[in-house]
Amino acid sequence: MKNQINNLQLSTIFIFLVTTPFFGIGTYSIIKFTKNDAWLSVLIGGIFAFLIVLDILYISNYKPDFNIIEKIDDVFGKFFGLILKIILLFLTITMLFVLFYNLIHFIVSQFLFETPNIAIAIMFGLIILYINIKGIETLSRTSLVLFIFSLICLISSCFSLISTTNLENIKPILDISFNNFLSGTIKYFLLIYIYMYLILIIPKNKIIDKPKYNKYLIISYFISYFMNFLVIFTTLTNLGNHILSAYQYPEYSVLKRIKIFDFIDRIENVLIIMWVFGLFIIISFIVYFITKVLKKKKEKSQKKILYPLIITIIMIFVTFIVFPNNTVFDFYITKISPYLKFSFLIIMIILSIGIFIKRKIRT
Amino acid sequence: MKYIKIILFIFVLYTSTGCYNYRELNKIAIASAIAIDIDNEEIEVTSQILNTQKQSSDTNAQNSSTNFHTYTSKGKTIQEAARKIVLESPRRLYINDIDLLVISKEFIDKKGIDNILDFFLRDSESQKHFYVIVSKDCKAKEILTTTTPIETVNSQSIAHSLESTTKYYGRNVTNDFETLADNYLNKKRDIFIPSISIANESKKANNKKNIESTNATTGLKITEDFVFKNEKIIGVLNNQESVAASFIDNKIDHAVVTTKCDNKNYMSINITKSKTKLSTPKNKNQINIDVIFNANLYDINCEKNLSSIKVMKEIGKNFENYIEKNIKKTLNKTIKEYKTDIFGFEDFMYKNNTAFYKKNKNNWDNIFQKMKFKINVKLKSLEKGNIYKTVEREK
Amino acid sequence: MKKNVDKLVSSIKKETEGVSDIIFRKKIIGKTKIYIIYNEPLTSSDKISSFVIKSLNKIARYKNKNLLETIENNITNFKVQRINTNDDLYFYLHFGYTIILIDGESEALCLETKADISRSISIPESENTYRGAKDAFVEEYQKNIGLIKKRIKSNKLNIKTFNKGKYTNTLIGVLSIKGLVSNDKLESVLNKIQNINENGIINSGIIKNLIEKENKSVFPTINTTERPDMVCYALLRGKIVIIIDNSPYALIIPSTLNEFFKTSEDSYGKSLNVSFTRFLKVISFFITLMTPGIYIALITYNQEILPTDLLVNFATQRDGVPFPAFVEALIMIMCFEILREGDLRIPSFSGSALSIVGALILGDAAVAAGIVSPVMIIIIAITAISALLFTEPEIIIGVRWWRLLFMIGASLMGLIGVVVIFIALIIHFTSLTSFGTPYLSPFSPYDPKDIKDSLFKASHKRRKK
Repeated sequence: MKNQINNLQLSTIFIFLVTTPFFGIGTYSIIKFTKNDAWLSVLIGGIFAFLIVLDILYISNYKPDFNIIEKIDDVFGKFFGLILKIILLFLTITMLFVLFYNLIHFIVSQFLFETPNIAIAIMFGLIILYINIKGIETLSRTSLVLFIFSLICLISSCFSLISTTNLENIKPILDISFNNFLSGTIKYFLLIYIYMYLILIIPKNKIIDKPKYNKYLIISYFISYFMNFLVIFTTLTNLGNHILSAYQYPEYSVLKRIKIFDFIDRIENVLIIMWVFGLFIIISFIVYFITKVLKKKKEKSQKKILYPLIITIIMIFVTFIVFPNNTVFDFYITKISPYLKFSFLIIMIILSIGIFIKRKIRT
Repeated sequence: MKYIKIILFIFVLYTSTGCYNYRELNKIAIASAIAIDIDNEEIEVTSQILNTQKQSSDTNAQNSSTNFHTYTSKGKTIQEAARKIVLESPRRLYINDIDLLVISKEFIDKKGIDNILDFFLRDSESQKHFYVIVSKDCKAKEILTTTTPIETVNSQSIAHSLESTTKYYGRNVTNDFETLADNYLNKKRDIFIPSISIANESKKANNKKNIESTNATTGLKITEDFVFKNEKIIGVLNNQESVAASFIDNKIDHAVVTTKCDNKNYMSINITKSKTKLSTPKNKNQINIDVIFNANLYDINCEKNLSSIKVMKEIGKNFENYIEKNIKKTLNKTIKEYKTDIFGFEDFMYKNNTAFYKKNKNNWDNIFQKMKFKINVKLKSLEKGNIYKTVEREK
Repeated sequence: MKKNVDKLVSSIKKETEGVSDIIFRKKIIGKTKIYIIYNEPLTSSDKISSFVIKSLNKIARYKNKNLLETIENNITNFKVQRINTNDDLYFYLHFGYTIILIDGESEALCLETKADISRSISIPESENTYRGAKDAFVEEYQKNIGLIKKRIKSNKLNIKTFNKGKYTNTLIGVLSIKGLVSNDKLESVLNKIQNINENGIINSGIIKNLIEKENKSVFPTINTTERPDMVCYALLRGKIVIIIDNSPYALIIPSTLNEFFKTSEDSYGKSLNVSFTRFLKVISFFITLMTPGIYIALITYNQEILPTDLLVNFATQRDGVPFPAFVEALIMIMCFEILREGDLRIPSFSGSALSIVGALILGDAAVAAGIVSPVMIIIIAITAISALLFTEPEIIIGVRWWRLLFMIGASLMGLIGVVVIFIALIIHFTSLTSFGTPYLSPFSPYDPKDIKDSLFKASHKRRKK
């Protein structure tokens, strides 16, 4: 009973995985390309991303008691599997650096601009280490509790922004060139799917209610799709699109506009906690993923602290060497990361084809 | 082993995070308004700081201080000047809570408004809800140092006056900074900002005696609107034109409109609800402005029989014509005379009549001058108030 | 056991040499010598004289060869037992039984003659009830069990007894209702109690600490109560109850965080009203944890959340105060905790003087002297009042540590510090288990059956489903 995860908790982790990378990095880069039609590119990109969800369900149905690392070993054999694992490890470490830098830079630039980066990094690194020592069950239960708070924040902020919406801001529809629109859609798609695959690290024998896994995953994908759409729609219709492409964190600036009852004025600091929760859960999950990739199955639990400790220390110190300031980060996001993400997609497609071939060989 | 871990944890926590951003309340100077002037190529920043000293328990009229104080300093950029204030003031400036930004007309004439918008947008701490006004005949500094009766803090008095004007007089003078910046960055429209000036010129503008007499010798008054083209000021709109401008922008909450009822006398109505719709027929160079409003008749100086339907309709028609004429006058003034587009008609055509806009994008200035406006003002209901006859002596 | 009764009696006398008050009485029935031994403080002399001596006199007239069997059949004490080891003899002697030693027999008889030296059943002292039964547990094991059995009259009420403690030999009883409780929990609890090896067990707190050893948190996972109706509610919900002799507090295992928000008066009210009260309790739990921390964060780091007028007022009030906000809050909380502890210890006739002194300290004098600002007193008062809503003292004491942590986090990093410590608190809660049940139980592993009685109380019809 102790090592089991509920389906509901798993789906909240999945929702966090899909919505959180969109909030900080995504809105800014999509709005730069497809100015006032960003909501449409989110709509259409989300439909393509649904195919990825089906792919995830397909991969998870093959040998459900293995997690994705063991499946790679199983399908491709030792040598080729090792190469793929190393590439996968490299890609997830870059994902980790990107998200961690995003979290720390957001906090330092908006709230505590005189504190050095390392200080806040150590604070967050400590709680990420704490939750990884306790294991995946604690992570999933915590994510359920934090998801409830995030949902409350999201719904209350969307409700209070209804009064200042101005639908004129999203007209004219589809005026930009098709290239820009396509690139915006592809950007959204690339941003989302790469984190979705991480959910496959949890094998099905840890889940209590196995037959409902598919249903829960699909429902949670639709919920997160709706949440993303709500965020970008509210952002676009509240601020004009000229000032929007100038801001660095558009959702945060939209929240500055909330004014309830004439005296609750600046509560954006409270509502943005939803984003901090999401980033915390997703970073801890990636650290767990990397631990599972590195650790072999027979290691005893005395060394439970060793791998997460090493990974957290690397994360805290190397992130600021790789991204010394925000301009380098921007350059990475817009120019370099699409290629890395494509390679991730190619690995997963190879895995799916491998599974397909193996099934055919068997029957 | 467990205790060593805990002690190490606390030690690391304490030394690494430290209290870098710790701002005690009595070490910050809470600014409630900022004024920007220009003085021989140097930017002068004045900030009005609220006085948070404890008032002594015996209120001696000569010893109690005013509720705010101003500090001024100069520099080559706004940031340098704002930071230099610390050479004079004992606390560091905290501009998160400002209500008002006053810019002098001189500054805009010499440097334009780009720099100011950039500074405030880039600052991640500040909120963007403050109002922006221009000071007309004097330096912006003098606006902030004038003490005002009834409200203790100068900037709050101005802010409340701006809000009341928008709500009850009909002029849209509450220009929120973020909306202003958004309109400015939008290349398809221009902005206009209200101005403020000192009501009676007198040398005793900035001492306490100003408040002590009920008939104040000086005060602050909201005057005309300044119309911008790109970044410089190009013209003015007086009170009535400004009211007509808010009719077009659909920002009327309540307003008072006055017109002649016969050759010598005037009558006024109080508009309670008003809505304007803009629309444009496809592929035509035309914009339709439809205004629908409800009003109460408040002040009538002629003899009319208010219980006949025909008379009421005639009165209504008078007002409708008056408003329509006003709107036409304002449109002519801004479009033909000043050649600016402060209502965002170009943006409106781009959004709602996209094909036509794209065809004529290169030639837009000419097309805009030739744009036709069809104005339709309708008074939906006119209430008379308590009495149904006008007051007159029987002859 | 020796057959020669004289030798046995002299060895008993030597063994119990320092223990005074053990009475030896010799009697001769027919031709055999019998000794009656009892422990005077623990036995009631009425019972001995009326039951034992009188009936022995009657038995003396029976002509029967086997004296042991005759006494065993005819003595008027209800509870009669045969013992044949020395250990058992001493055991029963210290329990208040009378031992009859018969010359020539290898077994002895012990008869129950316990005196009632506990207090009578009265109102619960530490838990206030305004609706509900007003009887409370006392220090006598049988009376406590009687109070429970009065309410649960079923064959399925399972009681297992142990005797633990080298010097105290305390009677411990583990109760559960067969069919409602889960068997593995019961097994693990029984194993844990079986493995206890202590010098002495004086009250239930020692058992609580011994069983709870797996839990490294400041929050309690075992509930204690003085009221039998709370115990019966818990038993009916499938929990395990431990009752210990000489202690009026029973232990309820397992207890999740939810349990500390409930009282037994909840069954009296309408479900909507009770939901309101319970919601209030949950909110006040968070208020008492986080208010000083949030106040410090708002004053020193995130001043923009406060409206301007409030900010100016706060700044004016903090003008003459020399300490930073964190130190001020720490001083006030320290004062309040000292007062609270003192309030519990002081006997009631000087309690009013203490509250006057407390009001003076925490009130105007501190403000006028310029040590604290008036706002801080309001914040501490809110924190203190919200802490009074809980009946279990362990929760309040556990909250003290985390409140301090929140204050430290707030003074280091402002609102983000509060958020980080909040996440740490949630991680802590979700990783605690109380004997296998996760601590945040109906919320975190979402259990739709239990949630109808946790944050809000659904109406009776809905709860039956």
